[in-house]
Amino acid sequence: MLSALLLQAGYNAALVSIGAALLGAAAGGAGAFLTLRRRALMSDAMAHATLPGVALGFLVMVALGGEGRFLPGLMLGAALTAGLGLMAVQLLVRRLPEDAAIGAVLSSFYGIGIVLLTVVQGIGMGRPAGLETVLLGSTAGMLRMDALIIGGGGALVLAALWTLRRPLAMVAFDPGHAALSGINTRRMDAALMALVLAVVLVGLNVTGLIMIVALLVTPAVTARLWARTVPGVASLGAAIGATCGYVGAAVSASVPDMPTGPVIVLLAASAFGLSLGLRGHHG
Amino acid sequence: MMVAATPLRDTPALSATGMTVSYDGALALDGATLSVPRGTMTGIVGPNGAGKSTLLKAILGLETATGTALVFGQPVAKVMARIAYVPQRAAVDWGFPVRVIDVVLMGTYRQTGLLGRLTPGLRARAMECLARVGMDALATRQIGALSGGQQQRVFLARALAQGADVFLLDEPFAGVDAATEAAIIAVLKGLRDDGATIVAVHHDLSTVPGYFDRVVLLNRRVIAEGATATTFNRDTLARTYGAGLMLAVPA
Repeated sequence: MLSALLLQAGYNAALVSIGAALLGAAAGGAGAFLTLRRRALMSDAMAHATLPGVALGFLVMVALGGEGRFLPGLMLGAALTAGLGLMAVQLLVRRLPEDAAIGAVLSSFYGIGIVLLTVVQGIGMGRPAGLETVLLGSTAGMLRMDALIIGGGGALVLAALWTLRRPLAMVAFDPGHAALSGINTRRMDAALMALVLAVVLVGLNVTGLIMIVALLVTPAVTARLWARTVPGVASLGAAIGATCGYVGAAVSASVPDMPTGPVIVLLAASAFGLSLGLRGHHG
Repeated sequence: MMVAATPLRDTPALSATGMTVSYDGALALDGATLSVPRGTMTGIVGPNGAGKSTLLKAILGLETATGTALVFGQPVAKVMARIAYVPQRAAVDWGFPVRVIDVVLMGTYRQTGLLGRLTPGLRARAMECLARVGMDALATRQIGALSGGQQQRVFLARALAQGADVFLLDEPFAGVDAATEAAIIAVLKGLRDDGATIVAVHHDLSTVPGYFDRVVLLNRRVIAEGATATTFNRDTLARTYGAGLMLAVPA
């Protein structure tokens, strides 16, 4: 395990660890703005709504004669149904309270996804074995290209967050004033949701779609206990997320059959528990 | 920027014509029309539910309204950079991780834009704005750790940092201590003396003559409007608030 932590466990394992660290940083940073905007539950709905897309992406790729495990194809399908889920929530909040709308969309899309996944595994086409790792994440046996996609995606999200940091903070703090300052608040919220969606998609193979929400929320709220400014919360959240991603991937790589997502999330939860004990009265 | 005796100079800083807002069919504002000359300080007074805050929001486009609002003769959306708005307190999450100086720096967003840097010059400007409201010593305090009056002063400093020349304030003295009220009124009078135009929703009728050189009496419609000395009297107040009100104001 020590060799994995020190990047000595082979080129691929090192690449996966670095990719997971970048994903964790992106999740911690995006999660900071997401929680400050009070939209954490929205990411949960979005993450669960990726599942039907993963199954559909697999089916389409198999129908086109492939094996169905091509990550960008699965991510495209996931993005499509996650976008549909987001639109469904936005339609429903006109008639329902937001938490009820999110609950309805989350469970429906997840249900559809599980049914489709069962169908996929039943029809005996393509190579669906292990497709269910999108639920809990696994970095074991990850391809080099997958690791590059994950690391590159995380880095892109971080760059976008850096560029948008001021308007994102202003919209979260005082949307009325932000609008009067010439910021298109609706577009800024859409940009934030797009970045969170990118984190969810990139995280599918690492933490899995259920655990990614914890990686978005936990480092951010942990950082909130320590930092006094938005840039402070975002960068500390990113650092905590990166550490959890890196260590989690290394641990998962060195313990047979240990899923990556739960390990990463347990690390983040420990950091949160520790911070709450030390700093809880400041919050 | 100074234009000699041309008609432009007489363009009011703010004019609103026929502003009408309805909530579920009930009129909150019924064709309110007013005109605010440049370099004046105007108080908007009226009973609860008269539509005072609604009028400010309608002018700013924060409320769906019919009617026309012009600032310096132009549609408000076009000249938003010249307008600063200080909302009523408690519209934000006071637990938000933000320091006093960060809030004031948000007022400079129009000057930096998305990619501009917060230069040392802008930071110095923000500190100056804090000094004007007597809050520079608390620049690195968390916003949630301040008293209500101090928070109100920070939001005034954010408006100052915008570099606007029309200031719209919604009950700036609501729930603040006497020191804050004195500090805010001194800043506003200073702004007016430098040529800015101030419009504030106000509640305390006893301080109207001391604070405002002009007054707008509002009860869904504008009942009376003009110089405080000639407009603010028992007759106009009775027509605004109803005849039964006992008033401690000059006849």
